[in-house]
Amino acid sequence: MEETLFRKQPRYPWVIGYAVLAFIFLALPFLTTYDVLVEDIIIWSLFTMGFNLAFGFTGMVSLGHGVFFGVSAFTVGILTLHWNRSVVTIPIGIAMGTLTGFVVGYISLKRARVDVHKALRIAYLVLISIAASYVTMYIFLTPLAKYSGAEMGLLGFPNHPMRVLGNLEIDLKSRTQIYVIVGVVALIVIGWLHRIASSPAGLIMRAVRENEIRVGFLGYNTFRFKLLVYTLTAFVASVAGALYLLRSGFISVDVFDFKFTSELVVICLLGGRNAFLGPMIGTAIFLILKDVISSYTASWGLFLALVLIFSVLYLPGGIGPMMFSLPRRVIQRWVKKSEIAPR
Amino acid sequence: MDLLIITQLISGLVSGVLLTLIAIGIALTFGLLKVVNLSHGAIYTLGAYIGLTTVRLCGNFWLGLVLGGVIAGVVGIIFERFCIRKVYEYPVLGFLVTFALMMGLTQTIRLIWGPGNQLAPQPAYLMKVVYLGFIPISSYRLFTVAVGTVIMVAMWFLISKTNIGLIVRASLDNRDMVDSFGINSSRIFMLVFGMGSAIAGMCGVLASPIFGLFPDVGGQMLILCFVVVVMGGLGSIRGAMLAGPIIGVVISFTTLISAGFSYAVIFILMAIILLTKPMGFFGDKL
Repeated sequence: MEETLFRKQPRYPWVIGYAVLAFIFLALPFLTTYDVLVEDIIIWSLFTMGFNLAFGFTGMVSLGHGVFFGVSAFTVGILTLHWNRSVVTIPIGIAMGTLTGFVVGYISLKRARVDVHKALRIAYLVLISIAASYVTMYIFLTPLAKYSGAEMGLLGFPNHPMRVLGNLEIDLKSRTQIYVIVGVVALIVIGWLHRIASSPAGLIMRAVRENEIRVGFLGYNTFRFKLLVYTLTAFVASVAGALYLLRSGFISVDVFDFKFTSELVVICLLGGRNAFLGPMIGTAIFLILKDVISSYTASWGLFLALVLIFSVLYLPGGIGPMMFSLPRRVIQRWVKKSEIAPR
Repeated sequence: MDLLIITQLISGLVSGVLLTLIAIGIALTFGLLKVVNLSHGAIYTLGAYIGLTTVRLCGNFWLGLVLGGVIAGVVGIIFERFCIRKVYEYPVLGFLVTFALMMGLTQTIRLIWGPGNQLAPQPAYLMKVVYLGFIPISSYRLFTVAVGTVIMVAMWFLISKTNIGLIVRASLDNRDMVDSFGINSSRIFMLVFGMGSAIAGMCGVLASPIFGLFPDVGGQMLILCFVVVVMGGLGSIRGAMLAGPIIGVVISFTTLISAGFSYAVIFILMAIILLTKPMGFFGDKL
């Protein structure tokens, strides 16, 4: 897993990247007939890119991010239905999701110190996040059944507009408004994540993944750092949850199941967990494949398992970096040739 | 009311013994290979379905028990040989590969045997009620406990008294040292993995009349087994033997309230134990 630190790179490719992203996020939903799929891809890539900061960059396998997604979405939905029809509920929901993430992260990272074997640390994280998924599922199915709609899911959310300020309202049934909101928020959050991933903090994340003990020797408090990253990813998951609720107007307790989050792991692995944009490519491939294959056969899981085994054993870098490195290599070869040619 | 408590206690102990048996496989593979083996649950399901088919075809429960164990063991060895062996050095990838194997095997089982519930076979001569004093117990449960105890004692004998067990315990401490003595430790690992899988398969045949039989049953058992293994200390067989019955009893009492509640309780219990005794009951001794 070699990575060149502080690689000298011209800045303009990122401008092009942002422009392409802005086009995909803001224009593509209005240009195709597959707008629902595109919106799904946008929200899920936001979710997986956040998740990848914990999974791919810092090396923390967590199956609990669906919990933060769900807690945020349910909080927004329940508060909107029973308390106040305005956008005030969205920050509250995101705060609830982030808080849950902080608590779960604290419990699962507190004892997973560096003197514990690496596999054991991963096992702690995985098991406590599964525990969190079962506990929240119980909480939302039984004590909160009256509000969350139990197995039916949250119903009746999109019937009225949401108030922003004065007479300004978000019409939850207008696709245009929702798509613009989703696109803009996703762009801002992904840009922010990119700033984090390419900052010195992003380097420490990767260093923690490679060798946590040595990062500790350098004087960093790895527990606090990992907790920070975990909470950050929980925040991104909560934002994605709130956006998901706004977009689809429906949320069910299925998102608390750890199998929901395990799909995120598959996506990150498929797209490339060491690359920042990898999860987005993985999301696109995953959702399109899911759409296509589920229409032919019911055993989508078997196909997924085969893809996962193959990509772990033979393609651990993922598909995403390959898609970026191939054109770059071709261009570099072409540039070299054109430099050589005039001589 | 007393009778209810006692019967719940006994059924909890019985399921605890079964959980311990399945958990031993996970504990062994974790202790030796440092791989969190998620495919164990699916292997349990495979053994259960093989037993079901065998009993339907030839009507012999014992043959089903043996065949379920053997085929599950062979599948476990194939998994180890062709997939898990390649990712020993990378715990994250190992976790993902076993997860994929679990998913693939469960889906294959669903394709072959169908998604619905199956009525698991139990031998006719064990469908009786035995009275211990005034407490009625199904004789099948007693039989399960007896077989489970036999397997556990055999495991203990193998690990602590034989040459293979010596090599296994030595590899737990220092694998490179064992290799440098000229012992092919990866073959031993394959054997241990197959043994754990075989026990899981036999447990599948034994436990499916009690826990029910459907393609996802292995996933549920796996989660419970992980709680057992973590409470006992990952990699510790003694710990699993203590934690299994505790978890079984807790489940059987809390299920009286609701199934979701029992899951929430055992996971909160597990979180508390991880926070207070992170290495389990006995530390990391086998």
